[in-house]
Amino acid sequence: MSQVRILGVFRDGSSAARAAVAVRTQGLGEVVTFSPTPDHAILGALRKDVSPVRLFTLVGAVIGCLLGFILPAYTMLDWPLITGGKPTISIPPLVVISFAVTMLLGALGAVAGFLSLSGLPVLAPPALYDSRFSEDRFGVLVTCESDRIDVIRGCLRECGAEELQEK
Amino acid sequence: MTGSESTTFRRLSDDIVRTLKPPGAVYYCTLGVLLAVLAFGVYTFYYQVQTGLGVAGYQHPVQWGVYITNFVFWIGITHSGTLISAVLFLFRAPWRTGVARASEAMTVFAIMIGGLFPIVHLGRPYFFYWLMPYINERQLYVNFRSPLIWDFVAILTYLTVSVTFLYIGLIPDMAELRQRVPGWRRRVYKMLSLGWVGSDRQWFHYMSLYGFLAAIAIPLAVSVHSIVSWDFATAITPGWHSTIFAPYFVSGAIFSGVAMMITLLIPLKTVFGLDAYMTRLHFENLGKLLLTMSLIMGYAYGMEFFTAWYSGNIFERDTFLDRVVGQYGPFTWVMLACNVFIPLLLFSRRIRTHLGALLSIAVAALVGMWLERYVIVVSSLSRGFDPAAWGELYQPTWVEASMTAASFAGFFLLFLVFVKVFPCISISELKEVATEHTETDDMTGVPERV
Repeated sequence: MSQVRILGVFRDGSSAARAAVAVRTQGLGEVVTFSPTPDHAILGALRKDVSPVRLFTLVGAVIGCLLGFILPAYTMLDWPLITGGKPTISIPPLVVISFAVTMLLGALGAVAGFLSLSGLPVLAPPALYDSRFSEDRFGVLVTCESDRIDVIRGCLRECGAEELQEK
Repeated sequence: MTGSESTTFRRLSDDIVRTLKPPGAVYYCTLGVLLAVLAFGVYTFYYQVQTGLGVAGYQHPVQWGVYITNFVFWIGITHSGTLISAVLFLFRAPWRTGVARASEAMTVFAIMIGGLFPIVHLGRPYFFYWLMPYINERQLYVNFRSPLIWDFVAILTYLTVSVTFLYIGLIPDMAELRQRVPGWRRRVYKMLSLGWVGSDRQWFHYMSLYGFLAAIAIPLAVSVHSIVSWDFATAITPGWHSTIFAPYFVSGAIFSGVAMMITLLIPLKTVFGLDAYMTRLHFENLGKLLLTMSLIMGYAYGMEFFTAWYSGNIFERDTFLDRVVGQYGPFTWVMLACNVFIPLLLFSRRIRTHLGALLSIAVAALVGMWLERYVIVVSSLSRGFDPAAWGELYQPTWVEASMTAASFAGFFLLFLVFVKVFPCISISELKEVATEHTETDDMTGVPERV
C-alpha cells in the first residue's frame, strides 16, 4: 500500500486541534500541524512530553561551569602570580568567570538543542506546506496509507477544514 | 475579539507590516544627521589613536573619565530591555508584547555601543583582543583575577544571549515576512528564518528554548552590572570600596534602562501610529517601574552617605562631603534632582499617564544617570588618599564630547534602522495573545476593532 499525504487548511486553531486529535486517536495516520503562532490547544493535544531542549541546556551549562573554572585555575597554576600571600587558586574570581561561561554555554546549548530537534535550518519546506500557515491559517498534514484517504478527508471536513490538498 | 482567528491574524499582521513600508524624507534626514555625528566621532577616535590619549583630558589622578562614564552608562541602559522582556515573559504578562521587541533591540544596541568604550579608553586600542583568554607566545594567559577580564567575559556573554533572545523571537515573524515583502528583504528574511514552517514540533521546542533563554537572561543581566560595579568596588578608592555597589548599580541600571525604554517607545508609538498596541497601560506601568526604581535609587544614595558618616572613616566621609559641596557638587545636585526628586512627580497618575510629561521625566532620568556615573568615576579619583595628588578640576575635552555624542548617534541610528527592517512588535506573539484573550481589554495590547 502506498503512502499519501493529505492537508487540511483551517481558519482557526481550535478546529485544527480537533482535527489533529481526531486523526491521531483513530490511528488514521501521522499528523503534523502548522500554525502562525504557538497554539496551546494543538500543542496540548499533540505534545504530552517535555522538550529535551532542557537537557541540551543542562549539558551546555555544566560544560560551561567546568570550563569556566578549570581553564582559569589551570592558568593560575601554570604561571603562579602570588601576591600578598593570597592563595594561588583564588575562588572568588573563578566564580565570576565560571558563572558567566555557565550562562553562555547553557544558552548556546539550548539553541543547539532547539535547532537539532526542530530540524532547522532547512532549505525546502515539507511537501504541501502552504505559506499561509505563517500568516493566518492553520494546517493539519496527515501521512497515511492510501486506503484511508476517504476517512481522513471526511474527518478533516467534519472538523471544519475549508480546503483540502493531496499528494 | 470578533470574527475568526484568521481575520484577526491578518489585521494584526497588516498593522505591524505597515511599519516596514519605505520611509519618508524626515526619516532619511534624521538618519543623515545621526550618521554625520557618528562619522565625526569615528574621525575623533582616529585622531585620538594617532595623537595619544592625552587629547582625552585625562590628568593625574583622574585617569578614568568620560569614556568609563559612558561605558557604565550604556551597559546600564542594556538592563531593562532583555531583563524586563524576560521577566514579563516568565510571568506571562500579556502587556509585554507591545514593548518587548523594541526593548530587546535597545539592549543589544546599548551593549554594542557600551562595549566599545573600554576599547576607546585603551592606550593602544588595536590590541583589545589581548583580553581574550588565548595563550600568547610567552605561554601567558590573561589574568583572570582582573575585573577587566570579568567585564569582557560578562559583556560578551550578555551580548551573545541578548542577540540570541532577540533573534529567536524574530524567527516566526521573519517566516511571515519572507512572503510579504519584495526585493532584497525577502532574501534576507528567508535566510534568517532558517526555513521555519511553524510545525507543532518546531513550536514545541521553540517555546522551551524561549523559556530557557528568558530564565538565563535574568540572572545574567543582574550579574553583568554587578560585575561592572566590582570594577570600582574591588579598588580601595574612597567612594568606590563599598558592598552596596552591586545592588546599587543594578538598580541604577534598571532605572536608566526603563527611562531609555520610555524615551524610545513614546516616539515609536507616535510615529508609527501604534496606539492600539502601546496603550496607556503600557506607559503607566513603565512609569510606575521608573518611580519604584527611583525610590530605590534615593534609598541607595541615602545609604551611601549614611555609611560614609556612620563608618567613621575620614577618607570616605571627606569624599562624600566633597561630592556635595566640592568641585563636582553641582553635578551631584543635578543628579539628585533628576534621579530622586523629579521622578516623584510620577506619584501623580495624571503625570504618569501624560506621555509628554513621562517622556520629559525619562529624559531627565537619563541625564541624571549619566551624571551619576560621572560623579562616581571622576569625583572619587580626584580626591584619593593623598591630598598632594589632588589635581585640577578634570574637564572633558571636545574629543570626549564628540565621542559621547557619537555613541548616542550610533545607538539611535541602529534603532532607527532596526525598526524599519524588522517588526518592532512581535507579530506571532500578538496573535498568540489574541488567541488567548477572547475578550479584548487593555492588557492584551490587541486593538478593540479586531
